[in-house]
Amino acid sequence: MEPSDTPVPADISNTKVPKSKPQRPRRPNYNHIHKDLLPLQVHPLPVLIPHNPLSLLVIALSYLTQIISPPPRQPIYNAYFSSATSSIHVTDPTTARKLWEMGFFGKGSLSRSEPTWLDSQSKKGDTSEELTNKRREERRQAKLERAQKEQEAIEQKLKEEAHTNGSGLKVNTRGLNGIVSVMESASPTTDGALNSTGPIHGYNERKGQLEANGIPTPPPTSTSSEASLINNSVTKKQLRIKSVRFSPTIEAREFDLSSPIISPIKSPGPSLLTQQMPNSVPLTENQEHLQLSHEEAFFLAYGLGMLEIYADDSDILLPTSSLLSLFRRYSYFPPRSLSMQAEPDDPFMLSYAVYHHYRSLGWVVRSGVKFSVDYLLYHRGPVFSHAEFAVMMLPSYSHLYWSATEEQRKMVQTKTGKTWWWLHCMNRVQSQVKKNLVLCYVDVPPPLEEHEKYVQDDIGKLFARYNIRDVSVKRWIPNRSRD
Amino acid sequence: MAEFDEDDPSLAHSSPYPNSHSIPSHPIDVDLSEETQDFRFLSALTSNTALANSATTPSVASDAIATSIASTETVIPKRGTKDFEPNPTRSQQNALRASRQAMHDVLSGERVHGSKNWVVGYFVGSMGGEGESEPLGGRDRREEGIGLQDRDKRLRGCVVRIDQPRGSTFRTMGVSDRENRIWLLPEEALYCIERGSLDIRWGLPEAEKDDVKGGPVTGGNDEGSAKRDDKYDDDDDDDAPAFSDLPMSLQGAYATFISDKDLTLARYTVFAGLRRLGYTVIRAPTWHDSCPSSSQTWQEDKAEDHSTTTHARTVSPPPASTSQQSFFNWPSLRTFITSVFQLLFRWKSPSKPYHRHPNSCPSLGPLVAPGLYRSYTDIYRALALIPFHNPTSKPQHAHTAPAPTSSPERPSIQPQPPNPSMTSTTPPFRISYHVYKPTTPYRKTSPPAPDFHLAVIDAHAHPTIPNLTELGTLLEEMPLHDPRKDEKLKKGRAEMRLKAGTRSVVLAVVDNGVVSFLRLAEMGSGREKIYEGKVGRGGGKRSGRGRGAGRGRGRGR
Repeated sequence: MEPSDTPVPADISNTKVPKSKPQRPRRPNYNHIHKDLLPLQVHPLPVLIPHNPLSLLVIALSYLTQIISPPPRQPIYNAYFSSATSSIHVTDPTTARKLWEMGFFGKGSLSRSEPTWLDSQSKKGDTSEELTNKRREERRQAKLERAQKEQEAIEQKLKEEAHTNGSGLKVNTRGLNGIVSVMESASPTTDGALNSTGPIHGYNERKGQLEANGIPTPPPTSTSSEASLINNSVTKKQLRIKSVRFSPTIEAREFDLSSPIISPIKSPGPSLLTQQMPNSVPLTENQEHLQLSHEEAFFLAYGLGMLEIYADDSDILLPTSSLLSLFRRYSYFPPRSLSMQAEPDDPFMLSYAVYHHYRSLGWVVRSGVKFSVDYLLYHRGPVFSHAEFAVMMLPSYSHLYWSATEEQRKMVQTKTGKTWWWLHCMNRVQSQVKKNLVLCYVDVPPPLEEHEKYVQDDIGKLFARYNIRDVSVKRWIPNRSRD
Repeated sequence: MAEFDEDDPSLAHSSPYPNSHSIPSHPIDVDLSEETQDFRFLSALTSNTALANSATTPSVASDAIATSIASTETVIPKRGTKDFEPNPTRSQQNALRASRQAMHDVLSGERVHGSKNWVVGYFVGSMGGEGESEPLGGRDRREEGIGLQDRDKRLRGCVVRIDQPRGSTFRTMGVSDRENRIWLLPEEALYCIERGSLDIRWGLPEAEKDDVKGGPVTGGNDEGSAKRDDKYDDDDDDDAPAFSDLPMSLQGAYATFISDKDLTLARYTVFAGLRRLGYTVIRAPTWHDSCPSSSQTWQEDKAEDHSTTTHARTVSPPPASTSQQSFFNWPSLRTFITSVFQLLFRWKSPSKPYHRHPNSCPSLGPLVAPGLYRSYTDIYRALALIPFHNPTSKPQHAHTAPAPTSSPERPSIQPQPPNPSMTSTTPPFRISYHVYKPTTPYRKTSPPAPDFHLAVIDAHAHPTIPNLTELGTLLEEMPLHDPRKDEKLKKGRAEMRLKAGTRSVVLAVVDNGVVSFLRLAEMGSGREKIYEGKVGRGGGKRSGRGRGAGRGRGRGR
């Protein structure tokens, strides 16, 4: 409805431009692209048409063929956990594509949501980000013109009044000029805006700067051989453009396999075709990867069983149980050490309970950080419509254990004490973008007792101890509720 | 500020945008006794450098501003354009002055009681204030005679008596007794005074003073005002026979009627605001903090007891006979029904709704066993894992999860014992008013089910939002409107059902007199299986391919 309300990929927002634009690229057939709700294939039987006896035959035939030659097994996709960015990276482009198309999982590391960096590189000047910037610039110009016009009208009026009443008011146009000048100074120049919001043009330069400053970077997104090529080209380019110090030690660290922070370059994706890609034009290489949040990755691995996640510093496949403990530790910042006991209100436990709850009901759940909430619920997906609900997760400690001692009560108080002002803030933002705020209370169970310790290893039982109750919040406006 | 602007237009311009003519050159002109002069001094301080730089011609002013912004950090940045920017034109000045004058004229108009609508009320102290602490006694006495019942129960909390009511105001306000007199609650009396439709006298007319004095005048809701009433009454007896004829001023009314415990200022603000908009606002049975929230039974009784509880304010718990009934008959019937349902549920559960694939492994994953699936519905069913609260079930069953416990291969974990404090509402989060829309036909003798249930919360006394226990018990008391049984919503989209919610409550959060209303509704998202609609519509391969394009365009919003 509003362009401001978009985690929506480009083509949708394009369609909202007024009809005066002559040639608009045709929207892809999203119904076909996103026909699968989850990254699992289903094999439905043909529909039975009662008055057509042939349809029975068709059903029987397809049933038989499926029995005789069963459809190919579900492909298992690969990803790896990057401890530096605390997210799960999918570097294989086909896997990334599949995860996005079938259920809208993950986010492109260089894009707003759909991993479209490579596409937008190829059609420069026509990408959605650039169009958005163009539109913003036009809007700013229009506002500026309007302000100028208003100012002229006021000046005109002043002149008239001065004419009729010579020594009347003292002319004070300073404030008026202020409007325009401040508007100009407040908004960045066009170049700056393009650089900051568009697809990251100067990625290589920026990366080089980051490395020069010693900040750990996310691991390169392609295989090791070509990564070295990229890095070499980066250094060359870097030296050409700016004289940034680029010491050999950093290069060494980049390839130091034992370093715990900077992960070695891996290629966990199933297809190794990318290795044979031509290495002459490094810029058109796909430098983007799909990043999954902890909850998404755990859902794909534990719920659907179609994702295998490797640790970034070794080739070890992480089983779901160790994934859970890893994510629980990494849900704190800085990550907790292995020795610390997992608690029932680890942020990951709560957020995954919420995520799984809504996902298992059929919602498309995506991060709501843009709207200051935890999750956004899309009915079919971000390309189809705007999110209807914005979910804010609130832990609840209603079990008697949590109010047993004074200490516990104080702890609970600090963890749950949200004020009315906070709630109003949240609600205002959501009503601005036409979403319904949902307070999702997660009832936290008490810590496991001794005789329940066996549950610790049973993920299903662990999550079955939580309970979810959601309450929708809306401003009630007496003036409009009268009928 | 406003006055200052009116008085001297030439100075007015100097304050927002100080200019070199007015301030530095005529510092003596500034009247130091005026409050507003501080600001001008301040602005002169901060923009001194800018003024020095700026030439007096307005053409280069924008440059000067740029430098002034750079040099001084105290300038508040301006963002965007405003619809009504102050500008130095005389026409704007005149328009402002005219509207200010109009407001002055309206406010300074004398407000009089017309002889036709002149309604006189008598302040009688609080009626039956003690009743709340001993509901049993009240009930006993009630059976003895109607007069006592009037005094103790229906009139509880009433402070003002009107002998000859006129006008339509009292159609939705107050309680009338057998002699056709109307008794008003403090908030109603205060509201009437504010509107100018009631003239309250401090005491009763001489003739019947003794008659009512026998009543429980001393049991005031707030001790302060009650004490003072007594004192006044004493004075009245001793040396000022005409005291009862004195009209109560607005200040006096506020001081008398507003208290910390019963009618707080926050509650009155909400009451008056809604009344002014035309709503009918009635005290709820859980008005008093000390009242036990007889929630569930009250809700249940309400439907069937409508004929017996004919009065608007059945403040105390329902009469003994009906409550007996509700305690013994209803729950047993309900438990019977629920047990039957549970039986049905258990019988059904292994077969259809939550059947788990034999290869599915909830302990280590994957929940969705590898294999051939005909539709996404099966996959989503296999994914059901997290227990959720079902708003239509009884609160005790909230903690038993349907999905995991019903699955055969899972030994059930003991469901958490429900917290005992979850059975009754806690003071700030309990209903204080029942609100009826202006269009709802309201009769005092048989009030319909309220349109909204309102809880008033002072944001400074209770700065944190309710936790699940507080909110859950409050919502549990609300009547159930199942959107799946609603005619319109049943066929509509699932989102609309979720937005409507099953039980809803309106919280009025009062922050220093500013009221913000929030409608909280139990969503019960777990009941709406979104995937069912999706799978039927376009999830399958065929329909997606066949008719995709046309539909996509239609739905794209």
